[in-house]
Amino acid sequence: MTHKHLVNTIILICLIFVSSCSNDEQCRKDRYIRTAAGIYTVSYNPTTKIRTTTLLSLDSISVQGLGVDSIKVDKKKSTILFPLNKISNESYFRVKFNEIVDTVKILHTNYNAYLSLECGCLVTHSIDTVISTNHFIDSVRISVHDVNTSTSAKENIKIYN
Amino acid sequence: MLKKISKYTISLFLCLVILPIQAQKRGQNIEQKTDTVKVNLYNGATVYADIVSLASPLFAKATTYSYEGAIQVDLLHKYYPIFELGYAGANKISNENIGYNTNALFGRLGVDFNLQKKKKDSKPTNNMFQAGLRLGMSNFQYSITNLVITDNYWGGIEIIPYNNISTTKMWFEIVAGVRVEIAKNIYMGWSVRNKNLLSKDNVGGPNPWYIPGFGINSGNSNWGINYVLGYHF
Repeated sequence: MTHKHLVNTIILICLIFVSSCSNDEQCRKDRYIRTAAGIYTVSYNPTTKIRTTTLLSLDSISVQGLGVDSIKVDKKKSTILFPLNKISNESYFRVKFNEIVDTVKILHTNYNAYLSLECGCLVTHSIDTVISTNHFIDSVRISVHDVNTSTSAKENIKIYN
Repeated sequence: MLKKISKYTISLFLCLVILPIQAQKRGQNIEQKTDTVKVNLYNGATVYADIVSLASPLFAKATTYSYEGAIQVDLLHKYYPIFELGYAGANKISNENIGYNTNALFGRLGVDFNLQKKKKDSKPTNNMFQAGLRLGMSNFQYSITNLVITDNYWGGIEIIPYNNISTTKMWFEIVAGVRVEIAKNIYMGWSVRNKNLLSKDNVGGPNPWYIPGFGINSGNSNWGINYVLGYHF
């Protein structure tokens, strides 16, 4: 075997090893989405005639999906996270503000976003309507309709006391 | 006697004057001949088979395979138009238990340029350092199986069917490599290629994990290696 042939054979072996390297199969895409609602209280000063909206921090907030056993309890929080239903377009929650209970109904459209073979599929939502009972809640307003990875730091719903 | 001397003198003079002139003329003719060595436009074709693609399925956990060959034409010993044809596929199950399946033909069309400069005193050689471009295309169908959406909070699953999705992908390649004539008319060589997709993926929609001829579609450029054995006709 000549020197040239030996070099060629070495290159061939290296190429086979390089080409047989397995791919990194870790999902490195952002898959975190959340639907956040902030709790606000509105105060009106009759002398200045200025309406002031402030974030309300409650001692205890618990959220439970209707028909779901799991209850999520948060202390000293002013934000609620609603895990929207990935299969159905309606999500019902029983929300306990300290000791006062309200039911929140969120109507949303689900979108299946294919990410990759490693990551699978991500479900994003668009919030259409939010309806609630009015024991603690005075009114609700949708501030950001889209629920996806780029809106995970934003507040989607404003709940007014 | 004087006549003879003058005859020899004239003959010698003629020899000294005319012969160099003739020799110079002959030399010029030779030079002209060497200067005007005609290079044929068509200098034959070489058929190649890729050895790496044949061997790599043995090492790559058999999730992908690719077999390819090529025919390359030698024009003016400078330009080498090439047509590559292959058959490739993938049968993969990811860590998330999602399956991907495809197999199809692919083709590439392009040209290589011989970058090796001929030295004046060197022996004529068929060894080459080549660089070139390719335009690749594959029309194929793929299926993504067992793509399941699970809602751990509310409960319930949804299976998303992505079966027999038909698509066409195009890409270009920058190729560089060497070709060595190891025996008469038998060539061996390797090339490295950088592949870049021209057709972009759908955001949020299903996308092929593996593109026949291009390789694994990671969204960026891809690298490929060929080690070929060829016969020159």
